Amino acid sequence: MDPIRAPSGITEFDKMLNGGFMAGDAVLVSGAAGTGKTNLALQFLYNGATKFGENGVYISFEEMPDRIYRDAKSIGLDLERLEAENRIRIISTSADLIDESDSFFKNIFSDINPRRLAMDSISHYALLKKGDTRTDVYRLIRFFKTNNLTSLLLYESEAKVGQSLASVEQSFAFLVDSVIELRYVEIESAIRRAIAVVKMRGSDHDKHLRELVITSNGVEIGEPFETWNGVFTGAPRKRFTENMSRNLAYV
Amino acid sequence: MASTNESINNNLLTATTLEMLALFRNNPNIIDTAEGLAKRLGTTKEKIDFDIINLVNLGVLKTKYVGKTPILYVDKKRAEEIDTVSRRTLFTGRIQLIG
Repeated sequence: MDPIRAPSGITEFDKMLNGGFMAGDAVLVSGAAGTGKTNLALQFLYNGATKFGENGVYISFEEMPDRIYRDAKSIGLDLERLEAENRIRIISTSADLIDESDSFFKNIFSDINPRRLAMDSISHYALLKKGDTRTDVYRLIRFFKTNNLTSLLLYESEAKVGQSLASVEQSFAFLVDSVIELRYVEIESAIRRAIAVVKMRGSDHDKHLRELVITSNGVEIGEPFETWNGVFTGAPRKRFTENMSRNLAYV
Repeated sequence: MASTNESINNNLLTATTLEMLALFRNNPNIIDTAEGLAKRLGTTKEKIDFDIINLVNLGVLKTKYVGKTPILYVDKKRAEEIDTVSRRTLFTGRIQLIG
């Protein structure tokens, strides 16, 4: 493993990231409910522990661990086993406790020495903050970086098909090193999931919008939507290809 | 230190206490305030204060401070012991469930 990278272990996704996330970076994973944020984060942690020897912590403000274990099992991830082996810790807590990050994380960090962290969700955390959310999130990100953690901050966006990043997400996007956007796209009257690397500091990355599929083996990345234009904007049009123009010539 | 059986006999186990034991059995990594725990149980802090004290006395819940906020977390080994014994004694009718 390249020491400056923290691969997700999802082959095609790592190709999109030119080898993986940059180690120690803070990554915003934004998407509407059900687009695959949690699955992506769990797989990042699971693969980190099982394939790359990097322990991980998952902080959930909403879901209870037993639900997370169950959902992870449905995509082939046995988190309970890894937790028993002290390689992953799934923590359920209240967002306001995270403000005291030093004392909150002290025991957890000394217990399992994590290199990866996922927080589900930063939008829930921001919701509880009354004042300057940006400063609080910045402080949190600095705390993770100081502790050499590659962190995925999940953001539940309200954006549905074709909408761009909301202003709150945009303000967080300036604070983080990378932004991964998950969204629903409508193709031929069917809703499909898509993933794009919107921003990645210090690294080249795939600029394509690719299909994201959730299977019993976890998150899989499909081909780019190459035969379509305007997928990201929510108004996809089939691209006029050479074959199509040849066929038209017959007509 | 009192045995697990004695500890249980010295504390009144309510339905909520047992519900909380079940919650911690399935979710051993809850680290939260009393209010947060209550929310997860779909109730209010006032309604579970008694049970929290019970579980602290039984050694199932530990307390510490995060900044100025008191928080609760689970002693997994102790929670397992108490949960096993309380379910067995409840099953054989040796303890009286109140509340």
